[in-house]
Amino acid sequence: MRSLLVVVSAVAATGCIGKYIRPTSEEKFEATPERLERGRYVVESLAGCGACHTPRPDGNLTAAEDGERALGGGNLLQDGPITVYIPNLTNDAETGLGGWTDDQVARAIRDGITKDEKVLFPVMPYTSYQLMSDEDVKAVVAYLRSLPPQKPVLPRRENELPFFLKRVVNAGATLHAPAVNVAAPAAGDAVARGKYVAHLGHCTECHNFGGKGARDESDRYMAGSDGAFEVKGVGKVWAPNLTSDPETGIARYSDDQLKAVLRTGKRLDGKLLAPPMSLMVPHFATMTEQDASDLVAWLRTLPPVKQQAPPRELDPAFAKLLGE
Amino acid sequence: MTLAASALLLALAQSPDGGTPDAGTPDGAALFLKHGCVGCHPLDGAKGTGPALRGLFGTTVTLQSGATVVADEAYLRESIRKPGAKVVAGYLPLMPFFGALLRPEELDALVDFVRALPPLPADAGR
Repeated sequence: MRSLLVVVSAVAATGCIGKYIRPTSEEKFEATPERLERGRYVVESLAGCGACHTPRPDGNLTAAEDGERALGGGNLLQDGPITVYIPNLTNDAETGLGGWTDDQVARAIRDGITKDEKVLFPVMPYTSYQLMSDEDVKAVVAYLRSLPPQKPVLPRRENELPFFLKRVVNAGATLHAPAVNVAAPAAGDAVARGKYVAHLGHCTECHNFGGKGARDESDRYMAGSDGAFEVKGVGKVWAPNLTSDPETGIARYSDDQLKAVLRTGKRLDGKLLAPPMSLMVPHFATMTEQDASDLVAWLRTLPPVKQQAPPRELDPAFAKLLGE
Repeated sequence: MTLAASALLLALAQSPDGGTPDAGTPDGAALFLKHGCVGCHPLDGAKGTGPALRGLFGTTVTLQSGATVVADEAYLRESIRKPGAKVVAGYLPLMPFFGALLRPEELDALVDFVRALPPLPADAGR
């Protein structure tokens, strides 16, 4: 039995992930003013890359972002037995993306494959970003290239993952067919645009989390997380149900109430959001009115699912910080 | 009600010449609305996600770190550009980085607007 396990693990570890890896080009994504502006907006407001990638004191995700060192990386995402090192997205040659081609960065964003063809741990939301349009991913890369190089707040370290989880991830369980020729949604289609905003904002990563990754669209899509997120120093937090169920979802709230959550960091019951969602608020708060409206329009189309998120269980010190 | 009351206050605070961002001096009150500041810093005495701003200028603020700082112009300027630099005790670092969104003259206008906000009357927010 034991030898069988070893064989299975070895196969999984060296499993064929080639079909998930596309070759990259040497194309340099031209930094036009339009691209830099769109890239800034996607990075800062829609995707909120800085929530994880901008250094925070001691790499602690519950502390404030150091905006002077934007996207310099080095924070640690600590959730239960998992510790993931958040990399530097600036052009620093030694610790950042300085040695990567533009298309290698684009592939990492949308496909989760590094320059060295390793699999990124799926806390990087490449499952969502596979929907990012070709033009937007070029804009994002052009913007990242325009930022001053930074050093990470903590030096690079290996991720700490449970043995089996590491095997499964390295075997490509979280990968998808390479994202190529992705078009942006039509300008006049509010629902399609809202779905696009939701995927750049990677809402699905938590609100459709099924314990082993994203649930299928036929299985309680966006009805909340099946497990708790346990950011170190915060406690246990469940992602709530965003479907149109009147009791456990968002149907009883107005569009303005839903948008205000993103703008003020307050939950619909008036309490303050906790991490990980609160980490996104400084970014989502600057989303355009149009994008926020489209996002809500898409949420309204989600079929109702009855699923009540358990009440959060905050560590006493963090609850005090939230005024509870 | 909070938003409506705050909007009214802002309307009263508008400068008489009503400058726009593209013509002459930017209007701090208009910027305060446009960027959604009022959503977290209501001006009617209601408890917001962010610290109250009326009558803030010149007072001493206690930070999350336990240190204290006087809310002078430099503090306001830094807190708009880099909100995480000095987080007030009892609040979370939830504020967006407006540094990249504001032109220098817009930052000046916002600082002037906050500096000039009068203290709340004693019976406000009841």
